[in-house]
Amino acid sequence: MSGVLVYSDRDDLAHDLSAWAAAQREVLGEPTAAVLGARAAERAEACRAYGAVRIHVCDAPAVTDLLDDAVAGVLAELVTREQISVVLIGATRRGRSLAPRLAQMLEAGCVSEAVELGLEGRRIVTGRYSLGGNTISREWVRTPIQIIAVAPGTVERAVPGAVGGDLITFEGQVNASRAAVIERRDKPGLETNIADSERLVCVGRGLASEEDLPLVQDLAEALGGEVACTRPLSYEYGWLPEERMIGISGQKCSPKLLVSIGVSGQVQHTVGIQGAKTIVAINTEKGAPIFKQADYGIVGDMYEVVPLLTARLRGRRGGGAAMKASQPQE
Amino acid sequence: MRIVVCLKEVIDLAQVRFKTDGRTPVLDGLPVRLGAFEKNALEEAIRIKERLTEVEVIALSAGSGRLKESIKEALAMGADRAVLVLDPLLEIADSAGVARTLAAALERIGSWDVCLLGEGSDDEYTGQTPSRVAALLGLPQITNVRELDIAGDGRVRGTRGLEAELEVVACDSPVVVSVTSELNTPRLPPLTAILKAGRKPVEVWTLADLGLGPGTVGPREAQVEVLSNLAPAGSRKNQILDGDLEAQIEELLRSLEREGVIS
Ligand SMILES: Cc1cc2nc3c(=O)[nH]c(=O)nc-3n(C[C@H](O)[C@H](O)[C@H](O)COP(=O)(O)OP(=O)(O)OC[C@H]3O[C@@H](n4cnc5c(N)ncnc54)[C@H](O)[C@@H]3O)c2cc1C
Ligand SMILES: Nc1ncnc2c1ncn2[C@@H]1O[C@H](COP(=O)(O)O)[C@@H](O)[C@H]1O
Repeated sequence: MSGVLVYSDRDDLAHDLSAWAAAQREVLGEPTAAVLGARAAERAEACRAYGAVRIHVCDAPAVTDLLDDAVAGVLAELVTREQISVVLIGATRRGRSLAPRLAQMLEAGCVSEAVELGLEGRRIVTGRYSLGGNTISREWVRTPIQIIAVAPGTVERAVPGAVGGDLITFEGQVNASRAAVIERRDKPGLETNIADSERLVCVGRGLASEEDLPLVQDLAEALGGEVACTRPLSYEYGWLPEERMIGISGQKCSPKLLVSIGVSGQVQHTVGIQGAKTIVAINTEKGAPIFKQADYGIVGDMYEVVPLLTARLRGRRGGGAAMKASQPQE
Repeated sequence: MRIVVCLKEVIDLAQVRFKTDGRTPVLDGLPVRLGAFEKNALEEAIRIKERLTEVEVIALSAGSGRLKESIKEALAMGADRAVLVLDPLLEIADSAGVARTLAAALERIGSWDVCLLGEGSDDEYTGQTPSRVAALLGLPQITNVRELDIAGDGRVRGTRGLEAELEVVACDSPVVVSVTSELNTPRLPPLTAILKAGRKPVEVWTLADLGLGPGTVGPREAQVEVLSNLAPAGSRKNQILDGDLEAQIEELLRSLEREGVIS
């Protein structure tokens, strides 16, 4: 193989992938990277500590918006010119739609969200969720050029090494997209990092109304954890921000403990909780699929079970408070 | 104005069963339906049609014979007509093959303004199709769109949900757009519409009609080889607690403590 090109619109992912590629250099050939968009030169400088031997820098106005077609045009030219055989892309939202665009331009096969990445002999073998998350498809791209977008957290966090790698200004043609970004708005502040939380309370449509959220927030607090949710609570109802949504189209988590409340357990959701060490499910329906995904199940109404569980947990912690919580207040 | 909505027929994934090994999926005989995000795309197209005059909404799908039934749901929701590409090869085609088929069908449909697809399909959720179709046609793409505005003059504005920000992208038609479920809540067609759907025009094309065949669409062209496709080895305890609620909670806490997952 004649080399790897690494690109991501998220610098830390580019660093991780760059370090991964550098570690596989014997098999995959020289690692190179591309840094595109605003402040590209400065960001490329930071990239030099992660093992790429060449870093291509492009801050042409046509790519500052990072639109897929413009970025794919630059990457396609680099692939051809540098005789690249593997392109690793960070599977952010942008990366997920960039990768297949680039693949089509290069007539290449593509994995658009690998959650496993490894070498088997001389092949890069990837794993991705398939059948809505029921299965993991392990596969390898057999076209001469392979495009693989890699989900955050799939390869090890890179630690910076010796600073090396030449910075090269991209001098090829940059074709602007016919589309244009006309506005950017920050999403309401990101409050939490579900992917790294140790304890999660994940709530679904068993929650009857937004006003009842304190019920699960209290439990999360008693556990020292965070509240997460299913897609309907975030996308459809807007009760909780998207960054708390778990599943194939949301966060994947790996807490020590996940308490799943009023969640049916559809596969598109449960794919995101597979990494949990222990899962507790609370659901009124004995037949709810979530119980098949759980270690411990309580069949019951969350409006009865959760307050009791919260009180017991608070009691355990506070010694004396335990008595208080289990005794009628007044 | 003409809007083409690409819809995929998918199996009901909640009904997937596994062989006795617990890991090998069995898909035979499962019911099929149209994908979820595709219905958001179609709903949006219909709303645009209701708002602007002279909008034609075409439902486009590539797949197998069962589509003739499934597509009625799209017609009942309000698509004016459907174009189906039916071929046994499509049942085993990869993303590139499907994209090539859809791109060829879009070219044959002729002048259209916006092509709407789902952000990802219910089953594979690769999101490759929209990008590949756009690349094949040399058109810009706006993906992950949660708010869409199409003006009478064909100017499209899509608000994309990225990780930390919302990005509004504007583009003149023609353009390829993929959408997420935040866009809208798809309507449930009334019974009368379901009955009438059978009378709406459905055109059926084969791959040969589109100048495509085994060399371009199908497994022999498969770009990605699947080594295995199995459910992860499950190892959950599946213990349903019993007794009165207080006792269940006590037992739960004891177990969680033993496992060292609560402090
Ligand atoms: C392509 C695609 C991608 C998707 N991606 C995701 C994703 O990333 N994440 C995700 O979550 N979903 C995703 N979905 C949606 C997913 O298929 C399910 O629809 C969703 O997870 C269901 O959410 P839920 O369990 O909260 O709701 P429901 O399925 O409605 O379940 C509610 C549950 O609550 C129980 N309940 C009701 N009242 C009570 C009570 N008082 N006490 C206790 N239990 C009660 C009910 O018995 C039921 O089991 C996706 C779907 C598609 C098609
Ligand atoms: N066979 C198909 N026929 C029509 N549209 C499709 C087909 N496959 C995928 N699509 C469209 O492409 C979107 C993304 O699918 P995917 O690339 O499989 O994740 C879907 O939501 C559909 O809109």
